[in-house]
Amino acid sequence: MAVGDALHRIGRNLCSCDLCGRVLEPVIADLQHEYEHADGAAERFFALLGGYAAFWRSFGWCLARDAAARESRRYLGSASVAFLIVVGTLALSEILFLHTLQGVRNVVLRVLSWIPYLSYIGWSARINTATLTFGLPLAMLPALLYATRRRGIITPSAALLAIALGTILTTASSGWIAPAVVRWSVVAERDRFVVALGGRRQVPPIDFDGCPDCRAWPDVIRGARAPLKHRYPGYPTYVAPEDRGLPAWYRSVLRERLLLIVFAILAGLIGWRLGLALERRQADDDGVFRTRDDGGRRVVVVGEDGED
Amino acid sequence: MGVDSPLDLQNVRSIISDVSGHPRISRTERAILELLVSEGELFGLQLVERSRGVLKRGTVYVTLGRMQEKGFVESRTEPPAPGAIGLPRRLYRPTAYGVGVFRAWSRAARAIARLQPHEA
Repeated sequence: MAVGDALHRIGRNLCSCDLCGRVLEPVIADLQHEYEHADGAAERFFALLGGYAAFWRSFGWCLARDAAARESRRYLGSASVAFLIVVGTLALSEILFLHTLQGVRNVVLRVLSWIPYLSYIGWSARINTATLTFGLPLAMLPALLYATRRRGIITPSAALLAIALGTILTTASSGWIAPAVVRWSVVAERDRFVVALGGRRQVPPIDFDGCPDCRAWPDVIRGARAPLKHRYPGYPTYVAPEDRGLPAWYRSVLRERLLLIVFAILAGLIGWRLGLALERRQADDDGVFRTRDDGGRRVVVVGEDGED
Repeated sequence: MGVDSPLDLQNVRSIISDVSGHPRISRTERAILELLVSEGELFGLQLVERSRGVLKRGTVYVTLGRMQEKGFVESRTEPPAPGAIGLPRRLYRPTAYGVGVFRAWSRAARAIARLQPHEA
């Protein structure tokens, strides 16, 4: 494998053919030429350094250019519409099955508690955050699948941009919006309790430190790294039972949120690649184009006659 | 550089007022065109070396690609040398349109410079 072959593969797979040929291939050709004609290890090292830096800078420009193209904007539009429809449907299902009829809610929560990981969804559903937490990453798959099927085979940068935006939304939703909803629910419940008591009993303030799910990203990270809490000054080594598992609980919440981000990226990638595979298969069936292997490179052959 | 025809104030005014709807060239594009017009066909790296710091290696092909889109330059791959490995390098030369735009801008720039007040 020659120097720059990996860069060439990256450029060919992630940028449009036009930009790859016009911008990236000349950069790689310069890198290969300089490397070939360098005298000594130091000169070769500097040729590599300069060539790689130039490539990544040009590559970033190509990605941005592809992402801003009209086709990419249309792709993002289709993906956004599908994303909103799926999230809306999930939110509606959550309201219908979990927050309307008590009987239906009990059955759904019972079913969720039987299935190992879904019990966690059941917990989120009790406090109106199931869609905010799980719905957004889940919606990435149908959104990218639909957009790829609708807009056809486009440059990967549009799909990568859609995945990046979906991941940012998932991060914001699971790490800031959902915890804010949980905090709001807890405060509303306490207020209702205080009103129901009619001032006959003193109700202690809410301790949000003991509720990692109420905490936004920075607090969860801090909580996961914090030492055990000693809340009684007279007993400096004593840790109350309710505080003993708190850092572990924070770490588990942090792990779950990170897993949601990974899940969002994977769902987006699967939706995109699945859409591409289906689109290619349909194009093959229609005889629009075929692909052949040309010395390790996949070449698209247009039409029945094999015109490249 | 080619022969410049003298510009009077009227010509400069018309260039300035029409410029919004006409091809514009940035400072970098002007530097590339200047090198290509004066030296003929060049590789991207040669442009970087001869520009004395005006052009950067990481952006020269981005600019050249944009200039190709605008029709200012055209390119061809170098003839394959025997035993050479890797991708062929690309040689750039200005189009007649690119040369025309560059000369028009140069004339306009010189005329505008002449209009500015000179200190004693």
